[in-house]
Amino acid sequence: MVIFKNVVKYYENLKVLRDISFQINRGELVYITGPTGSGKTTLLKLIYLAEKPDQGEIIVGDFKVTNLKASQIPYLRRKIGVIFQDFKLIQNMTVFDNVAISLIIRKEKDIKNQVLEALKKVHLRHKADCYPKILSGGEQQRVVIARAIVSKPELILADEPTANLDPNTATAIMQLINEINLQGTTVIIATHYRELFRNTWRRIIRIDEGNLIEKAAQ
Amino acid sequence: MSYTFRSIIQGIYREKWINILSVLAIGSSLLFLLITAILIYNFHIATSRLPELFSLVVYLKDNLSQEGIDSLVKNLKSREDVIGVKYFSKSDALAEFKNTVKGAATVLEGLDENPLSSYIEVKLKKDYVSAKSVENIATEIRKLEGIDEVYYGERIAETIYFLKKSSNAVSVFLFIIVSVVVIFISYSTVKILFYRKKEEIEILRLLGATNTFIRTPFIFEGAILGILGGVAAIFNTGIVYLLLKYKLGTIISIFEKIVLPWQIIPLTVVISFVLGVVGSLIAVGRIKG
Ligand SMILES: Nc1ncnc2c1ncn2[C@@H]1O[C@H](COP(=O)(O)OP(=O)(O)OP(=O)(O)O)[C@@H](O)[C@H]1O
Ligand SMILES: [Mg+2]
Repeated sequence: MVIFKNVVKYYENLKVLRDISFQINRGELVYITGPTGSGKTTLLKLIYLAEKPDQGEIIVGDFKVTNLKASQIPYLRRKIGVIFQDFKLIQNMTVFDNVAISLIIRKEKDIKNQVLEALKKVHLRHKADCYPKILSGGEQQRVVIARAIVSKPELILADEPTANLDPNTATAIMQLINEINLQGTTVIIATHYRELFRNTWRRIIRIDEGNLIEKAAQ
Repeated sequence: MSYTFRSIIQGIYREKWINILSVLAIGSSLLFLLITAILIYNFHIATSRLPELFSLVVYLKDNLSQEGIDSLVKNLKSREDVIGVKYFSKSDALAEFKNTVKGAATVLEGLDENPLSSYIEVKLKKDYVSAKSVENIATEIRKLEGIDEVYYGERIAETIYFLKKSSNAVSVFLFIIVSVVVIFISYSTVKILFYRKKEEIEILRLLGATNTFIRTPFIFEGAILGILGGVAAIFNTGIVYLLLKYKLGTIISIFEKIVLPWQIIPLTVVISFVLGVVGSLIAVGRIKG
């Protein structure tokens, strides 16, 4: 589903990722971890082409991301649901509309039912008509999660999905993500929060000083 | 579609002052163009009958025989640039003079002899009433036998001809200028609206929105700005027209006859719609994500 071959990424002079190679298979759930500033978000951005690699090759599903035509980028992104670390909610749209926009962009039908179902999964059905700015951090984060899962994408990229949640809510959200994965969706979770993968049997990819250290399941 | 529609409504409502300003600016530019166009149009109507009224006056020598007159009339009638020829004898000329100039009878009373010459009035075909050809025709006629003098309103012919030609050039020039202005207003307004939504657009792109999806609402906004500007211009033109006709018309009577061709209403809306769309297309096309 996601293949990185010798990927190198610079920001100006800063070499964030040096020669990263890995493969994530369809249906897998993989953790990407590493200290803050190690390049986890950058790695995810390379997958949905918010950033371009300086060297190497990236393949996502049927898309050769590295030399994708600009007109194809939207179609790559529609295969992916991103839980952004910085939320990226649209402030002048209600919670409902923020989730619905994901379906509208994909030209889907039966939007209302799908949106309400997604909001129910993150326990925000009652906040559908609120605007993001009055929501708590944890509530906003769950809106982002609802928006990422509502379109039932093939791949979900979760960037610190539990950063603003209390332990109980975090567990519930992780359970939800696991369920979605069990239905066949490939999931990549970027987090520095060890608690999330302490007892997991899943693969963990660690980035340290720009190098990749693959760890088998513990 | 529902997103597009809502986005348009929001764009119009949330940035209402920018939009109102823009509509007023487009409206005023078009109003200026419309008023000029209507005045020029009316000038053309007013002058279109002038060539028919326009005539050369050919004064004859006093000693010219009846045969000489007849052959002269025949000769003039056979010219391809002439549409009508009418002979006025000395007494006809006097009657005409008394008719047109009030008080002429008293002026002429003391004279024993009729001081006026007999003359032939020559009406020219419309196409020949330009300064140059009238002059040529007059020169040719002067060469004929038995003619004292050929008189024609050089100044009038020249002026009308010049005004007609230049008013056409002025209309085309103004139309181009105003079109560019309207496109520019639509362009800058849509660009402002676009930048104000930059953050939202960035998010939409990350979620997989195509350029078309993002640009469509802005193009509609440009179209609406254009249409509203056109409607505002027509509304104001109507008011100016009524003022000219019924207020100024009572003072300066030529404005009483002013005509407002109704075709100008749909035409203005269509043109301003197109200009609005062109402006917004340039605006969104230039901004790359
Ligand atoms: N657009 C950018 N321009 C320049 N430098 C950047 C940019 N984005 C990120 N960086 C730098 O690249 C490095 C990696 O950033 P990144 O956001 O990928 O880290 P991260 O692992 O996600 O960190 P965190 O755990 O805090 O979210 C950081 O040092 C950051 O300052
Ligand atoms: Mg990060």
